This record gives sequence, C-alpha cells and structure tokens, in this order.
Amino acid sequence: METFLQYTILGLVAGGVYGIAASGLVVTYTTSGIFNFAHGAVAMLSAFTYWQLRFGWDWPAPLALVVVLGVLAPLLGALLYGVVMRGLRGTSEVARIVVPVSVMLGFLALSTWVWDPTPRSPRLFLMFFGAGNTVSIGGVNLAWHEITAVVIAVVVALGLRFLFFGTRTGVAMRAVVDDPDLLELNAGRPERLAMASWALGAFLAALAGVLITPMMGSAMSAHALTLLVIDAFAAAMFGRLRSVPRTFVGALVLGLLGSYVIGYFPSDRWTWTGNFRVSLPMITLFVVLLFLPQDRLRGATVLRSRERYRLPSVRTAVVAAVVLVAGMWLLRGILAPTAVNHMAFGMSMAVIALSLVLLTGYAGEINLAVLSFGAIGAIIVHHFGVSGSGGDARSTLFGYAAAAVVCALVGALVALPSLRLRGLYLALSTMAFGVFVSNMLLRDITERQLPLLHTRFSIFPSGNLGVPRPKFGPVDLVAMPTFLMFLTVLFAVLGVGLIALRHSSYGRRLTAMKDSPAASATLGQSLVTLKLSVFMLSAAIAGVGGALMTAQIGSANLDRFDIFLSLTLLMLTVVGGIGYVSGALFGGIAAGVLFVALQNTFDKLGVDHPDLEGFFEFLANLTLVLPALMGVSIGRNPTGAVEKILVDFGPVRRVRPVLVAGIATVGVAYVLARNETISNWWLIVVTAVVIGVMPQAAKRWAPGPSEAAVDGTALPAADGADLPLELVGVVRPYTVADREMLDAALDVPAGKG
Amino acid sequence: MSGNGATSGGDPTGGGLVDAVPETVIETEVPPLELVGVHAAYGGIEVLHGIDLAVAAGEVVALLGANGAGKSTTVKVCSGLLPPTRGAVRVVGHDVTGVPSHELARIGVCTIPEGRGVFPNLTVRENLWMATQVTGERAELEEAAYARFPRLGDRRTQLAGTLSGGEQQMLALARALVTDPAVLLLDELSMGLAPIIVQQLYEIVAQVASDGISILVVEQFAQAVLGIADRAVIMVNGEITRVGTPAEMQSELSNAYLGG
Ligand SMILES: Nc1ncnc2c1ncn2[C@@H]1O[C@H](COP(=O)(O)OP(=O)(O)O)[C@@H](O)[C@H]1O
Ligand SMILES: [Mg+2]
Repeated sequence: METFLQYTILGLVAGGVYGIAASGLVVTYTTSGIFNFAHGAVAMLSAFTYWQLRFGWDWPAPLALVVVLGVLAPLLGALLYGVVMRGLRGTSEVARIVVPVSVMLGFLALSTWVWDPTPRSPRLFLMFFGAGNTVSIGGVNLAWHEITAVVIAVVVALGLRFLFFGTRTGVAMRAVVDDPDLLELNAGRPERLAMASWALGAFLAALAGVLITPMMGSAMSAHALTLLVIDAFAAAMFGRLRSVPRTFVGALVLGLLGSYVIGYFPSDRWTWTGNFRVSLPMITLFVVLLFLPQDRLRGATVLRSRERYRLPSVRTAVVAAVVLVAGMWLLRGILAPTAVNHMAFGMSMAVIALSLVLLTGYAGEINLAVLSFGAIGAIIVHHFGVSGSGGDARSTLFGYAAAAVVCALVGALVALPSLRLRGLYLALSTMAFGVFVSNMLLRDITERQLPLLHTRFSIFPSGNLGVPRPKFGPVDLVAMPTFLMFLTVLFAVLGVGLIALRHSSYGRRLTAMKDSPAASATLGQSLVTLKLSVFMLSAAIAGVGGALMTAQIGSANLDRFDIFLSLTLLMLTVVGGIGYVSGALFGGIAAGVLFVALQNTFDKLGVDHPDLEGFFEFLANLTLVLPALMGVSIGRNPTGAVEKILVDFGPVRRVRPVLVAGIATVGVAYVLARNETISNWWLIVVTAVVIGVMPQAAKRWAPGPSEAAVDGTALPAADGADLPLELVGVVRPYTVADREMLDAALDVPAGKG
Repeated sequence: MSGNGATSGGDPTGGGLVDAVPETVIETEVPPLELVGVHAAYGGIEVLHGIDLAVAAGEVVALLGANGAGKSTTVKVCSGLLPPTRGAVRVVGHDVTGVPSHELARIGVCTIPEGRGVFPNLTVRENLWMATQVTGERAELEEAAYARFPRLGDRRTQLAGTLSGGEQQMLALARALVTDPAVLLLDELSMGLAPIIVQQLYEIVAQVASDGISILVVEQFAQAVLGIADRAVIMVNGEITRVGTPAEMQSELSNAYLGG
C-alpha cells in the first residue's frame, strides 16, 4: 500500500508538470489555431538559459527566474508570433504545421550551437530548494521542489480557468480562434490577443521546462526536453487542444500511468518496461484519438490557401526524368567515391521524400515520421529479404515488396484513428508513432525466445540493422556507382508515375479533397477510403526508400531513423516545393548531401586556415540553423523554391542564345572538371553562377517585354484548359465550361454538381 | 441622433416609409455613411469598380445583387476589414479610409458579417460581453439585450453555436444594437432562415432605423427587405447599376434575377 501511495504521489507530481506544459499548448492553439510544435523547444531553450544563468554564471536563483520566466520567455513567445506565426493566417494546414516544426528544429540547432551537446562535464540542473531538502508525506519523501511543482500546477490550472472564463481578455482570446474578423468588428484586437497568448504560452513552456529538467534526473538533454512537447500534446488532446481543465486531467492520467508502469511492471523480466514508459504518451494519444469526435468540415479554405502548383504533363515529366538520369550519369563520372556515397544517400532520401510529395503535396495530409516507416521497411528487408551471407549477401526483390506491403499495412493502422479528423491530428499521430518506433521498436535490441516459433529473435539486433545492397535477378547493385544510378532511375520512374497518378481521376480526387474536404464530401466521395489509400501508398514508398537507404549505408543504427531527421526531410521537401517531384529531389539531396557537405567543407576550411577557424566554425553552425530558417520562410512562399526557379527560368526558354550559352559554359566546366583541370567545387560554382545569371540575361535580351511571365504571381491565362483544377474559381469566377470541366474531372455525371 | 416622427417603424409595407426619405436627408446633411468612388481588390483582382453610395441618418438602404456581385466586399470596405485600393469611405463626413475596423467599431460603425454574426464557442452571455469592447458595462448591455430579445435571456449560458439560426441572428442583432451604433451594416441577415423569422428580424431593423440609425442591408433575395427599405441599390459585377425606390425596383429585380 505504501508503494502505491508513493507511486501515486510521484505520478501526480509528474502529471502536474505535464499539465503546465500542456496548458501552454492549449493557450496558443486556442488563440491562433496554430499547434506549436516548438513548444517543447521553448521549454528546452528556457531551461538551458536558466541553467546558464544560475549554474553557469552563478546568478541567484530568484534573479535568474525573473529574467528567464518573466522577460526572456514571454519575449520569445511574442516574437515567435509576431515574426513567424502571424504570417500563417490563411495558409494551408501544411504550412501551419511545417513552419512551427522548422522553428523547433531551428531552436534545437541553436541550442547545440550555444551549448555543446557533449560537454566535458555533464550539465547538472539541481532542484530548487536543494534535492536533499525533503519532507515526508504519508511515508513518502518529497522534495520541496516537487511540492512546489504541484502547487504551481494547481495555481496555473485555476488561473487559466479564471483567465478564459472570468476575464474579458480571456474570453476574447477564445473568440479569436472562432473568428478574428468578427472580434475586430467588436472593437477587439485579435493580433494583440494572439501575441499576448503566445507570450503566455512561452512563459508556461519555460515554467514547465525549469520545473521538469531537474526531475528528469540525468544530465540535461536538448532532444529529450524538446520532445516534451509530445507528452504535452498527448495531455492536451484530452481537452481537444481547447479545454484547460480536461488538459490537466489528461496530464494527471499520463503522470499516474507512467508512474505505475515504472512501479509495477517487472523491469527485470520485461526489458522493455523503461521503453514502454517513454512511449506511454504516444499510446495514450492513440487511444484518445479513437474517441475524439469529428471536427466540423470547413469549406472555403480554397480562397485563402496560398500555394499554387503547376502540374507538368506526363511528357514533360518523362523528358525531365531522362535529363535527370543522364545528368547523374555525367556527374557520377567526376565524383570521388565518397561523393558518390553521399549522392547515393541523398537519392535514397529523395525516394523517401517522394512519399511526402504524394501524401502532402497531392493529398494535403501530413506524415511527420516518414523515416519511421523507412525503419520498418529496413527491418523487414533485414529479416526477410536477404539471401547469401558475408560478402555475397544481397537483399532481394521479395524483401522490398514485403517491406512495401508491411509498411502500407502499418500505415493503415497509424492513420486509421485520425482519418476522420483534421490533418493536424493525423500529423500528431504520425509523430507519436515515430517516437514510439524510436523508443520501443528500435530499442528492442535484446534477443528473446519467440513463444511459438522456437527461434530467438530481436527486432533490431544489437542496435544495428544490416541490409546488404540488392540484387534483382541478374542485376547486381553492389557497386556504389551502379547503386547510385539504380536509385536515380528508381526516383525518375516513381516520379513520372506520381505525375501520371496526379493526372488520373484518382489524383484529381486527391486534389479536390486537399482543397476542400467539405466540397468533396458533398460530392459523395468517401474521404476516409481516399485518405487511407493515399496514406498506405505513401507509407509503402517510404518503407522501400528506408530499406534502400539502409542498403546504401550497409548498416544503420537507430539514429538514422530519428524523428528529427524525418522532420528535417519534410521541411526541406516543403522548402523545395512539396507539390513537385523536383521538390522531393531538392529535399532529399539537401537533407542527405548538401548540408552535410557544406558543414564538412567549413570544418575542413577551419582546419586548413587556423587563423580563421572561429569564422568557419560560425559558418558551419550557421548551416545547421539554415535549413530551419528556410523552413520558416516557407510561411511567406508556401509553393517552394522549385516553383521560384521555374518562374525565373520561364523567359530563359524563349531566349535561345542565353540558353545555349549557359549550357555550353556548364558543359565546358564539366569537361575541365572531368580532366581534373579544375576541381569539382569550381564546377559547382560555375553552375551556380550560370543558373543565377541566366534569368537576368534572358530578361535583358528577351524579344519582347512579357511582364506577366516574369512576375511570380502570374497565372495561366484565364481561358486555357491549362488552368490547374484547383485554381478554377479562385483566380476568376466559375464559368459554365469550368463546371463541365470540374464535373468531368471529378467523375460526376454532368449537371449533378 | 434624434428619432424621426414620420417613420412609423411598425409598418413594413406602407408607402409612408418612402415619403419619409426626403425629410431625413434634409435633417442631416452629412450622411453617416458615404462611399466615394470606392475600388477594392483581393490580391490584385479588382472586384469593386468605383462604388458611390450614401446612407442618410435613419435611412434603410437595401444593397441587392446576385451572388458574387461584390455586396459583401462593399460591406467589408465600409467596416474597415478591407481597405479600398482607391476612393474614400466617410463616416459622418470624416474620412475613415484605411482606419482599422476595431477603431471604426468604437466610433459607431457596427457590422453583422455574412453568415456568422456570433462566436459559436462562446455562450450567449460571453458573446454579449464582447460587445463591451465597443462601449458600455457588461450588466447594462446584457439587460438591454434580454429586454429586447427575451428568448436570449432564457438561453444565456448556452453556447451560441447551439442556438437555432434565428436565435443566432437575434443574438448578433442584440450584440449590435446594445452598443447604440450610428451605422449598422447587415450582410445577408436572412441567409438560411425561415421567412417568418426573417420578417420578425426586419421588423426590428425597421424599428431601429426609426431611432435614427443608418442601415445598409445586403440581400440576395429582395422580397423581404424591400418591405422595410427606403431605397434600393442594385449591384452587378462590382458596379452599381440602378438606384431607386423599393417600388420601382420590384419589377426591375425580377428581370435582373431571371435574366442572370
Ligand atoms: N477573400 C476573397 N479572396 C478573393 N476573392 C474574393 C474573396 N471574397 C470574395 N471574392 C470575390 O470577389 C467577388 C465578390 O464577392 P462578394 O463580395 O463576396 O460577393 P457577394 O457578397 O455579392 O456574393 C467574387 O467574385 C468573389 O469570388
Ligand atoms: Mg455576400
């Protein structure tokens, strides 16, 4: 009985702190409708800053607290809203998820920049009032810190309740998310209220951060603190991200469950108890999602979303595919073996990113943990798809097919609970799934006896998953250059396939669902089957890609499938242009090659030029933060970089001399690089300069001024059939012809729509 | 604003309303609401091409037109939600072009926007509380609202989203009227409501107008509103094509709608 009391009290303490963190999420979501994925990162930054002031520089605790909680955190929250989140009003759900995720990644990069993640002596964050300073309650020893945490949690819960229901400002905060315009028509200030609530949210995150860090026991970990957001959102989900009291109830349930798991699961026999405890929030989240009532479908999102994708014809896609394969062939000729390695890794990431183009770009749904599906794909190939052993081991076609099927099925399981709900919930489930895979599956490294099969089996043997390179029939892909070409061809084929799919009636139904779920529901489409099928297809691609990625490396440890890598890949693909196959190419290469290469270069430069080392170290760190900055910027240009390049290159195609001169210059540079007259870096520089200069030159020598084509906002002519389906009715009113075209596109019998 | 004896608000059909128009115009020379040559655009696509419109004190102007004509856009310009690209908006003679809507609300321009005059996730009381941002004490406003709409008093702790459509518009009207505005903009008040309820709501609107408030009523289907309007304005593709008395409009409109 005494132990029960003990675990109950400890659970309540943990639940209280979760509650504080989760209520911060509720506060920001309530007023801005933006789910703050960076919430945990704010807690993390605050905890590190507090540590710096209090333990690094020996400030007195009260002063450090006032500075962190009273000044820095609210300021950070207000800035976050004012600079980043405010611009997201009226953008698509994708942008509203990816931008906060980018902020989270940016904060994480920032923290490793300022606070070396592998310090010489571990950073210790001591409890307030000292860890030894305890009192005994019912035979349970509690530190004053823990008692304070519970008291603060109660105060926060009551205070927020009062704010939201007892003050006009608080009620107005609730009104903001319903209808900011209407609030403004009532003389309210939605922008100010939203900013205030983000300041409050950041304050709560910081409060939770400084309270929970010392309770996490070991040395401070930026990643663990950042993932606090997941515990918080599982709790917040109890209150549908809206209700503070129910959020606190959820937090207490989570805290207690976690405590009882630690207390009563036999950790000596069940090696996975600790992992299970860490995965609890995810499991809870899934259960809660099953019981959440359906959201109201909202129409008219079309008018506001700012992404506009052009859809290339299948013929253009085939040409582009051939150019890509040929280009890679040429490039392969001049790359050093290590560079071929990097490139192959990048291409395997690009294949994974293709799954995102299908899911997010075409269907508007989000998967925050693609690499977790990749991990499952790799596990399947490792266990069921390898023939031969030692140097002769090869992965088999059967293995990859099995990986695709299993991943599709797992994808269905992950997606099912949240398919009825809005995209955000699906995104959250996938993130929860990702953490679950990392914590449970990939840490399941000890062998165990399988009950029926009488074999010994472990999912992730000794923490390293070996997948040899494939051999399909007579085609042996063991040599890295060959494997690189295979990956490129695979990417090209899948890419053309996706574009063809997008042209099919299935693809048009996906687009309709993305643009207006309400409208396509009234057209009698079953959104659930549509979403489910596209999610499964996408998971299958991710699974195969993940297995290929593992085959590229040869053997992968669990860090390769880290949730933060999944998020980075998604973010970079969105930066490239999630609606485009080329966006996946950009995302994969950027995630797999570009930033690694840049950073290596700066590191190397730093070693070569010791006098400038500080500067190059700065640049190297900057490249870590850079992707996040790019991700944040997509709030302003949601269509992505590829679109911009396409638009810029519009005039180039019409000015032959410029085109020819450009290609010739790059060609000469290539030949020189091939002869090793110049280094590959020069080839890259020349190519970059040519790409930069060509649009300018074309504009200069263009035959006639054609402003519309140069203007980034220019849209296809109003008459043409080339106006993308999703823009009809947006850039100009509907016409009878459009109605017929839409009917045909959506397979509705004419006249019925 | 003083009351106008000539407009007997209870009579929604009589020709007396029309007769009253000249009197009100003479009484206040500066119209409480005036649009001069207003152009407006969404992201570079112009949808209003030069609107001139004035609403005198105590006058009810019906702004009519087919779906997509630009009526709601006109209301957005009047209420400050959408700054015009050209032209001016004047309130009681003062140029308020580009003044944000929260400030316009404070100086007495009150709007019930299209289809959503209430906050669905707030209770009736909380909805009325929001009106105090414009002016007034919470208790006073509530009292005034329940006095005018007793039905709301019975439902004060209910979420607005769970009210019936008619009750929601009552709440929206109550919220607007308790702040004692000078200009009232109503965008498709009748949308999705039963004719009998529309009739009731418009009777209240007519009554309010007789207290001297300038009212711009936007409607797609004209019948109900022509009964209480002093003047009707027809809008087609972002331009005003016709202005006249409700009686003159009656025949005109059937042509316009059947033709469009
Ligand atoms: N938020 C918006 N963004 C872009 N275009 C809009 C927006 N709102 C309305 N429009 C366009 O402006 C025109 C006028 O719309 P609106 O004023 O709502 O018409 P009405 O209220 O008369 O039905 C329509 O062509 C409509 O498509
Ligand atoms: Mg309208």
